[in-house]
Amino acid sequence: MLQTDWNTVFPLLTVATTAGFVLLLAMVGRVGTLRRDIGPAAAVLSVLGLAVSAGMTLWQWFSFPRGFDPDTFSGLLRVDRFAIFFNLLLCAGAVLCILLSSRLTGKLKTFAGEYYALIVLAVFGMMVMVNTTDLVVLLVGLETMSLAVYVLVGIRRHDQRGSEAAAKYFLIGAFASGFLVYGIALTYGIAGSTRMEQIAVALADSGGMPGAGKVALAGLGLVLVGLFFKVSAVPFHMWVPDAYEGAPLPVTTFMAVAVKAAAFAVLARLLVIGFHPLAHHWLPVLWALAVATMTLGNLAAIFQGSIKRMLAYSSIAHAGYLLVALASLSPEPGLAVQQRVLLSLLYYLVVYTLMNVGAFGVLIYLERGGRPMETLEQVRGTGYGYPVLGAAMAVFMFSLAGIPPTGGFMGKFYVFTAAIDRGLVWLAVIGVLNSAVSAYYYLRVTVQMYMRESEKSLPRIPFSIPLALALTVCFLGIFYLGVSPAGLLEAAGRAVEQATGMVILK
Amino acid sequence: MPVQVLFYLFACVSVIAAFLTITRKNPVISAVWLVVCLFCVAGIYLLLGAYFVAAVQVIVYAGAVLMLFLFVIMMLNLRTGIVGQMRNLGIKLLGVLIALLVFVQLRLAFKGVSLLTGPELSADFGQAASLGKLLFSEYVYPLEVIAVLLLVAVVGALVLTGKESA
Repeated sequence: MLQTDWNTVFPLLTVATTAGFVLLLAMVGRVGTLRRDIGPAAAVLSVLGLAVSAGMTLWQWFSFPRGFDPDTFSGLLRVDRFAIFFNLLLCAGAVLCILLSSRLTGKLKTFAGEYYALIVLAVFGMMVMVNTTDLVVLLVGLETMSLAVYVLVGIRRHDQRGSEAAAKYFLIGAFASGFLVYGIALTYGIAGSTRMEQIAVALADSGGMPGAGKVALAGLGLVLVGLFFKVSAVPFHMWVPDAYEGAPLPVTTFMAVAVKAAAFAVLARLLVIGFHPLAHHWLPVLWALAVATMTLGNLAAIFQGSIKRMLAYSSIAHAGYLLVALASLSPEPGLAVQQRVLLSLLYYLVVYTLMNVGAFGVLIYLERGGRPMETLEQVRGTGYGYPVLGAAMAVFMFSLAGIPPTGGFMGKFYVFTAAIDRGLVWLAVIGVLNSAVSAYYYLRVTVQMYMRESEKSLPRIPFSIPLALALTVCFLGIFYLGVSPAGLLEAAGRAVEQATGMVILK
Repeated sequence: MPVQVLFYLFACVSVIAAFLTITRKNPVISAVWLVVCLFCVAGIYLLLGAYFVAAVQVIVYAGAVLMLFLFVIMMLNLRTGIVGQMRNLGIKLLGVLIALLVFVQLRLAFKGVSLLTGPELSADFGQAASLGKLLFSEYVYPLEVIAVLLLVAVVGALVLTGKESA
């Protein structure tokens, strides 16, 4: 009989159960006589469920690896500190997005409960993705996440842009999954296993089968293409501006923050463990893609009149910086060389989550009576009308541009130092030049908010507790990480230790 | 070797059927060719000894999924409308070019590789019982996750198409 340690599975189970209860709540809200808006209740329940899961994950962090069995379900579920780190990040990102959603679900009415349930289910899929080293489980988790997010993009059914965005995202996402599955199949054909550790062993001594190396390369290429779609690396980024613009703002935030973090976690694990023996082949690809992604994202962002679309391109550019981190991985096996690189990746993802939630959150806060605040003209003068929001937006924009003393600066600093340590000075130089370019369009938002007079007097915006809470957390978090990064760095360092140590040190 | 003859028969017919699927103007006829293609793939699974997968292929894909396809095509009354819009010759040529490129690459990759050097298959390989045992022991975790995946699909379909209360 299978032995399962329930302490290992508990965070995942809690998230899945929470989704079930939120769905039940949505059903109760629809019963004839009880008919009422269950949006706020569903939000509270979702946040509670995610918090319990995060609490249990924290316990796992501190009792690792003695308190529970890190490998359960015949090794398909792998809870190491790397996974725990991402579980916490994903739960936090989802909670922040739920806090941003209060106004949207107020308008959705009928499907408010399902909206929160889908967010929680997407988090479940992401946790499955990051808590495994098996390609089949990874695929199933990825599909769970993607399916939920496709629906979230199109949740405003009567909005034509939203439906179009959802259809585009769904078609391209399905296409990407096709690549991923084919790649996994080819890899399995060579390695005879779907476990990343065993794939690494099989690829390292490819003497067994003549000519197997080329098939492995084909498998590697297809798997990478599938994942590059998800992290929105150029040239697989075409869907990003449309999907981000068509989706409701809180969903855009969720996609930019949580989906990307989960996809990068998986990509990092695959490159460091499974496909590491082929590092000489994928490193040049990553260099090229990192440069292309940064440059194209930043250049396109300059020409956007809509802040939402600008932030979509900016998220592509940030994917480029994160790819710089992955591109600085070393082809040498050994923990110490990879550690700094992965550490910078983890640090950047945390900062990236905070500053993106913040920037999108301010846009959501500025929405008045369902009229979206999207173009640069619309935010003109809002810095004077709403001083607190203006100041917060300025901080988030500074952080996105990478100006000290914000977290964004430290994030970029660690990523680029990791590249320089590896001797990739040219890559770091291109990255720094790109951040200089990005400062132009980030600061333009602040300039518009402060330097220009608004044509009309600005109406009062009703105070919203959940939105204010989310913005405060992001605001303080960015300063905290910018001024004293040591705490998070140490945590990230311990997360990285176990993520990769088992295999690289073999 | 009768097995090899059968393999080439199934393989040729499936390739031809797949080609006809994407070239017919009438979507209903396309769907019927797709059935033929899926049946031939099921035949190849049979030759490989994967009996259960072959049965699932026929029941689920050639049966249920194709019925849904036809149902949607007939309900939306798509005759040639969508096909007519895909007249852009440049895109078509690009597609053919990329397909050829990928084909050549895969051909080169598989050149000289003998993948069939693995251990002998056990006697109960590919049967429903052995597959079921594996699914409910070693692979019970992804199986449960797939249950959640199906839940997401159901909720998603409901959210996108369900009736909105006033």
